[in-house]
Amino acid sequence: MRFILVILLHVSLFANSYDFDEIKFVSAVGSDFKQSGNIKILDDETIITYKEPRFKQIIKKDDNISIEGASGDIYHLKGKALYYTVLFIDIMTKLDSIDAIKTNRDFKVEKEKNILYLTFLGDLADVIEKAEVKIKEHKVLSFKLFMPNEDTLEVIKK
Amino acid sequence: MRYVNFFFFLFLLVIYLSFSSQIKFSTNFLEVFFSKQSVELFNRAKKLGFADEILVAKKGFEQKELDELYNLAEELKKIPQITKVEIKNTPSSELKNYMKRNYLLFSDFDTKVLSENEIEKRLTKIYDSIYNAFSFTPINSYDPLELFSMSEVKIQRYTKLKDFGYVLRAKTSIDTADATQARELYDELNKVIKKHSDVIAIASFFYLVENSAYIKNDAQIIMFISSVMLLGLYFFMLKNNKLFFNTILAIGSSVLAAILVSWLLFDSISILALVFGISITTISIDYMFHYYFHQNFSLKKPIFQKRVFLGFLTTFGVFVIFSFIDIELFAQLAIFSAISLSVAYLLFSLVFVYLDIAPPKKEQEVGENAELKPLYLVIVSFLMLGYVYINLEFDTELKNLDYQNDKLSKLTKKFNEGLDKNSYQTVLINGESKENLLQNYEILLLQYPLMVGIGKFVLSDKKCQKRLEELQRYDFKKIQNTLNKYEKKVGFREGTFKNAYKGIDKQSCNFKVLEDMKFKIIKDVGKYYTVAFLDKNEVIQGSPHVEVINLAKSLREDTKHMKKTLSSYMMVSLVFILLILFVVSGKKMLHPLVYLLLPISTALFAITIFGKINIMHIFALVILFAISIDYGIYMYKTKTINETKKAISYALLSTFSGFGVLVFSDTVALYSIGFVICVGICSIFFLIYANTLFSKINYK
Repeated sequence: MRFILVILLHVSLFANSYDFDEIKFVSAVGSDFKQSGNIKILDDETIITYKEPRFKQIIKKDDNISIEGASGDIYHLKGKALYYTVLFIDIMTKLDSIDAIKTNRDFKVEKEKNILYLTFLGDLADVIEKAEVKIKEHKVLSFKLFMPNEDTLEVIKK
Repeated sequence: MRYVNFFFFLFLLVIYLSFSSQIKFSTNFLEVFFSKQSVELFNRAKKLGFADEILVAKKGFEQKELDELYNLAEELKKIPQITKVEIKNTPSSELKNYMKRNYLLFSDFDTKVLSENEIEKRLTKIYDSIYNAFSFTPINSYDPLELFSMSEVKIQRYTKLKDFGYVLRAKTSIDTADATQARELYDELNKVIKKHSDVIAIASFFYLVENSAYIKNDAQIIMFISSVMLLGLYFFMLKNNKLFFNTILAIGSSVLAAILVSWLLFDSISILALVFGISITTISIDYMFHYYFHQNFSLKKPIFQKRVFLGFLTTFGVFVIFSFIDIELFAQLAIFSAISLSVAYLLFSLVFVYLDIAPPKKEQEVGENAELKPLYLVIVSFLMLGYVYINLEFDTELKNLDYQNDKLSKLTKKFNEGLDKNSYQTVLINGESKENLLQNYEILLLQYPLMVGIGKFVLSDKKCQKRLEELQRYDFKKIQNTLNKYEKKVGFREGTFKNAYKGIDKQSCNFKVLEDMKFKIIKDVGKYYTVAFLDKNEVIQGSPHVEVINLAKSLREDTKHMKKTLSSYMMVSLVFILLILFVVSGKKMLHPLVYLLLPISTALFAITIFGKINIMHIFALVILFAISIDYGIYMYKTKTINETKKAISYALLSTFSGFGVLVFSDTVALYSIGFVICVGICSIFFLIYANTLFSKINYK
């Protein structure tokens, strides 16, 4: 359903940066898509820079997303693409901090050994069923999001 | 007989106390100032949930501030008068399921017939987008060909007040136009808010609570000044305690009698009518002074002074005329005043003679009044009225009468601008039935496509049936077969689109209004109503089914209507007064008439010089009308000029103590009354002492 709502997660912004590998599984085509990049979380914007397989920079500022390709062309996302991109960047920001995970109101958290099992609540549950966050000594190593249509998105911190 | 006045007061007090539980005093200021039509409009908006929203904002956009707002919300939920507290703007799962179920009916439907080639092209485009996408965007396997679409409306998960912080919305069940209920809720809210730092809140009823508290404080100071002046008048100038206490008892009896009769006539007595009615009752003191200075209380028999009787009759007549006015406040006030003045007149005329009140020192000099030629005064009055006619402007902004609450005004501005509230207008749509209401909504939607309202969630049966027919005509079976044929060929897994366009034949028109939709449909006096939001720049074309909810505008219209009505009734009263004056003075009517004409024209002239006339000026002019004519009648051909002057002087000082002191008020409404009465009193003083001032001139 192309429902009317642009959900914006509340995120506590704090300056942070890390490199990551991203593995996206799209159930409709039965394939994995791999990318590597860096996320930089600043006070007023979040920048994701993909280095492989192709250069691409995604900048989230306020509630807008701009994308810059290798050619230097910049375009702005809108509609469904904007909605999902904003949502996933906010989740990536939030799941990077164990404190933010524990104090949030968007999902229930259950811990089992070194894995946090997240069950999304309310309107987010329509988009993401659950998530698994691997941790080690109060640090997030990776997280994997499970969508209702069997798609998955995994981010592994380097 | 010496205590008859006291026992009469006691008798009325016992009756009053016996029925006091049934006597209702209304503090609903809305009903006092708004017309019935405006009150109905406001009440409908309130029933539809758009009038009594309380907005609370916590400074900051961090998680900890949001958490504090959640805590604050929990505390607010414990207040019994608060019915709902919302922080998130996201819809409930019930609403989401409802929308999913009816999505095919609400969305725009592209009825273009697609060829197999076109379908294959569209599937290939989706496949390519998956491979080229950098961000995750799931495909819509239910409507891959995007036959259905809906315009997107951005809804923030949390409401943010620009440059401040997060906002929560609370709703209440109380009548926020009721000062007592509003005060209680205001206090409860403040108890909660004060526990948190950097929290601001606003609701329309805050003005009523804060301003009435300020006005109350202002009124207490005024009452103190008034009491000191009255005490000074009676104890130090008249030096007659007995007269003072019996006058207080007589005024008390008059007020109680007026309350009891008003209770029989009205469902509830407006507190404003009561307060002003009591003040007007003090005007009756001039009857007492007239009798007292003419030593009538020593006669030991009922008093009948033609002048006093005619003065009373004129004032009484004016209030009887005003009792027919269709403004609730003035009708109540007029009836209250007519009754209280009658009782006071009867007590002073029939009872005070038996109270053994010591007469004042006799200094009567028999002689006729020497006065300025009335024609000159009439000419001066008309010159002033001419200036007034050309220059006087009417102030329609009722809020200008209120205490100017800068703190709340700034907060209101901050919320209105920060939440972009100034960008839309609210309209009330009506219909004879629910179906008719929804059809009217849909007609309006064609004119204003950006309109937001219940029509987003509920369709009229007519529109819904039309959509069902469109869906039935479209060959979805063929589309499904083509999708199955091409999905694997294009590169998708088999069965990816197995649920596409399923169950369309089972769609039905089965809508309901959920609370979460924010929009309601209500039934009121046989009609159905809903509200909708429109861009504020849209001009609503005249339609019997739509009206803009603009309380400020309604209030301005009502004030204009009030002015017109009051002016008409003043004209009728003037004719009545002229009739009485003609009976009293025949061709020499100008002599008593100047006591009405000069104070009124001087007051109007002074208002014009210093600003605009407002509704409270007009109200005070009615009072001035009623009192000044009495003095004209008393002064006309009086043989006891000194006693009459003295009686009028004391009566004027009493009136100044009761009404004139309002000129010291900071509240524009009260100041306006005081201003008119003071100017009027000065004019009457001028008239009664004109012969002394101009003693060297031969008037006659």
